[in-house]
Amino acid sequence: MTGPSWRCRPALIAAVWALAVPALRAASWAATFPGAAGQAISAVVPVEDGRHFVALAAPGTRAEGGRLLADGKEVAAKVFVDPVSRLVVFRATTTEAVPVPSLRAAAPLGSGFPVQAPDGGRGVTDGWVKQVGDKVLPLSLLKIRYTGAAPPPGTPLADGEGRVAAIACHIAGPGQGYALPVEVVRRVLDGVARDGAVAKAWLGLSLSPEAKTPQVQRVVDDSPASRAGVRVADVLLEIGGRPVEDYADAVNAFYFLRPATTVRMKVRRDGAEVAISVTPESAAK
Amino acid sequence: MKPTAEQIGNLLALKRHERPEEGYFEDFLVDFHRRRREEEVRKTGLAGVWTRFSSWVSGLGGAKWAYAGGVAYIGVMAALVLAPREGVPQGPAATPVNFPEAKPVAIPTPQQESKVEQLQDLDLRPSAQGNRGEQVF
Amino acid sequence: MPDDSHQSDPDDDLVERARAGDTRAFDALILKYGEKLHGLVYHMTAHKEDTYDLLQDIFAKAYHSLPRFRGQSSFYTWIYQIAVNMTLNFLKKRKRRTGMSLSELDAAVQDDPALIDGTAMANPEKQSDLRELQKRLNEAMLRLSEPHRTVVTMFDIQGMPHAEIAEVLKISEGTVRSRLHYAHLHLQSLLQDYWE
Repeated sequence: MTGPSWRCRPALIAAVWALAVPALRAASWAATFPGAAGQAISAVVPVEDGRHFVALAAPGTRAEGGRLLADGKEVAAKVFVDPVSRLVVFRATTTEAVPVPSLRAAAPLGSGFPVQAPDGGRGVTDGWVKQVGDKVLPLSLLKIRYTGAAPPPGTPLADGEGRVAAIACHIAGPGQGYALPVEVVRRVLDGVARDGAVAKAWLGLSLSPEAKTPQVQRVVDDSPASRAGVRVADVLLEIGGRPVEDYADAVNAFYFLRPATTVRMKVRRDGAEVAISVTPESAAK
Repeated sequence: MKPTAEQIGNLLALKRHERPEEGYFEDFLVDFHRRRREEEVRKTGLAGVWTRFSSWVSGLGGAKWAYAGGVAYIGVMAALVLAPREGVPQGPAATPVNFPEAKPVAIPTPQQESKVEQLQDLDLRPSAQGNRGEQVF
Repeated sequence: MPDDSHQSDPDDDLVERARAGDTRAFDALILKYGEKLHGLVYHMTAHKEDTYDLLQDIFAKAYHSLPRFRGQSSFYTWIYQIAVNMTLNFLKKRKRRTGMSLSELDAAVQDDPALIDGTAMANPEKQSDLRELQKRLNEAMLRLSEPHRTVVTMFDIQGMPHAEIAEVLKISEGTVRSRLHYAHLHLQSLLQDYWE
């Protein structure tokens, strides 16, 4: 197995070279997660300083039990888990830094946007999925149509300039899959960097998944929502800069909120648009 | 004889109606985005990094995804994930939406048989269960 | 002068979204103000290709400077300022670089298919007289100094009120008025041979 060419260009890697264990020659990286049917494999994406790796724990596997492997051998790493997206961040402590692709600020919104996998596989965005059957997703996923087979979970998908736009997460059919938009990865990395965990934000307002419009049903006493002036019957229009059209859009927008970070919301109240600033708290465990 | 200041003003005001040809700004936008992409590539040599990253990945060897157990597991997952039902809206709103005038809801009536479930994580297996009824955020 | 610092910018929404990375919101801003800025730049430079390139540069600058735009003025005022400054800088460089003769520019203006005169005149005779006058006016515009051409473009051609011009150019309203006054006088004398 030939070594990757990046080893000749340390200048391009932001991190300081670690005093690497000589035995570790980065060649074949993956992550595994224990599940009932065995070990589930995930691709990994190096991020940040080249010693953090993002992987995806397949549903039904234990994310906390994830292991980072190089050449089939486990690499010592701290494991951080976002239980909602099932993204896992490994912080490897004893390896050389590896080349890090750039991350886009956000995934493209529209359809027909071409993406590529590292092995050359190609696909095209095909809209968003917010609900599968009767189940509303906790965050919206990109739909991808691939020219070949859908890649395994954890595979990064980049735009034409090599910036990661999404991470493949589920296979939905032949040549079709769902992917986590890159802003989810950023959200997770943010949480891990700042607090060592991805803390869920809590506002103290309730919505009904059955309703046609995202209308506040109830405001919890002495909550961030009540303190900010959110009222029952307010219809949510925009949350933290994200336009909200239905219940699922609101759920998606809430995912990106962070405890103690104030955001602007827009609601419709008595026919008028009202702007509200709200500072979420951390969701109680 | 000189034109008056007013006549000059009128002549100049006629120029207000001058505008570029049809489709000028459509092409302009396409070009605008192309230049932004070129800037990105030039600025950070990103294409280079992706290529290096890709060859790093392909250094994983021919059998990179063919861990026997892994592939079977993924295959099982593929069969279990449902396709989204028809008619589900595309995604975040592209254009401003006019909501019907919402009448204040007195008390949320408990649904008889609320079918919609809110998943707490991205577990799309048929066996996955979400929460029903009012959701607090 | 009423304090309108509390008036919300009608572009607030689009600007916020553009700042958050929504490229379509920025596209919408380009489409909204593109024609106005095209008018400004074209009447200052009298050159079709230069106008296109300048417009690209202006919107590029606005795009990259958006994070620093804090609503200290309306978005329109802000981008208009960028447009005026970049155009004036360009004209300075052009003078030095090419010593472009007026006749080169004339050609661009006279037969320019890029400019469609939206005011349909019923009388063809009158129309050709008008065309002739417009030609002379375009030439006369190019003879104005940049500061004079700028205020004439903004006030007479684009219909911007004195106060707004003052805000964009960061000069007093009095200066705007006097520049306009002298610019008009100059244009009047330049056109006197062609007036009946």
